[in-house]
Amino acid sequence: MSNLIGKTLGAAGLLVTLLMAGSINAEPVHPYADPLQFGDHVVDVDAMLERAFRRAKWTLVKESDTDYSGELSYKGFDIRVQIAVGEKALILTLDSVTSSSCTSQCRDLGEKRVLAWVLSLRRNISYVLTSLVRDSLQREIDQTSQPNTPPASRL
Amino acid sequence: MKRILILVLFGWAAGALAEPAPLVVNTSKSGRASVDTISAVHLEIPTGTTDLKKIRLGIVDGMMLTKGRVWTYEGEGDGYILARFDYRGLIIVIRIEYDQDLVQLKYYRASKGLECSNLQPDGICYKNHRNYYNYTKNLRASIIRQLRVVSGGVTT
Repeated sequence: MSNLIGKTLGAAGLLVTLLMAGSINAEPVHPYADPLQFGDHVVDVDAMLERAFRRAKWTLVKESDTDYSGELSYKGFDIRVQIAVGEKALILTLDSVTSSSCTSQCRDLGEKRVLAWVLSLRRNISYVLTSLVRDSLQREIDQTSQPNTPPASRL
Repeated sequence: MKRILILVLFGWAAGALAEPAPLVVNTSKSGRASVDTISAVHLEIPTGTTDLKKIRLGIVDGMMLTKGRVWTYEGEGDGYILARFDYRGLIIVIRIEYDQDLVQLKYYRASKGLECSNLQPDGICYKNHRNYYNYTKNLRASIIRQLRVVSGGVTT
């Protein structure tokens, strides 16, 4: 019985926390792990990711319809990230970092560099997404003013 | 599976009601920035049009054309768009709330060093590092410009 009450209170606490998160979020933002929501603005996620990875100079590997991986070999570091794509959002996670040249002495410096490169990748994805959202909103307005025009192909 | 659950929960949690309102700074509260500083970021912006599609376009155009560093799209919900600023490891996420009359910038999240130390329940940040106000006021100024463009007030 007490276990059931505990679970109920726990669920209620989670619910309140999530509802509060909608308006104000006291937690510091994570550099790259927050979900990137693309909503209905992006039809072709493959094309969006390819464009973003090209800009960031990373290599994109499609593993399934919802899973991608990204690789970067740069300045002695081999970095691998995973991208999970949901129906309307995606999440970037750091999978592995290996370095042949870096010892424990440069570990701190290495962490900062790796973080900066992963952050740069995420920023490139969100930049491409922003331009797609912008184009999508412009098309909505154009279609409203010219209702008989067929929709343009979306990226 | 866990990551998909996080995606679903995040989308649901960010869906709380959003509503811009005229800014009233409580001057009796201590530990806050000046009224001018707070207003430079959080003062409401008249939309100049009642067309919500044009307002959303004006906001996203404003994000992309901000002086200096571009603000990027993080997602949106009913009546708001999330905009993120990244610069040398500093991150600010602003919740840009809008309706047919007003647009207003609200604090949402930030990285360490730019977290709001006096956050009001309505999302107005009374106290933060000066960089928060400097970076974010550029976004507000850019949105004002682009709202004028989309509403037909000026041409670029």
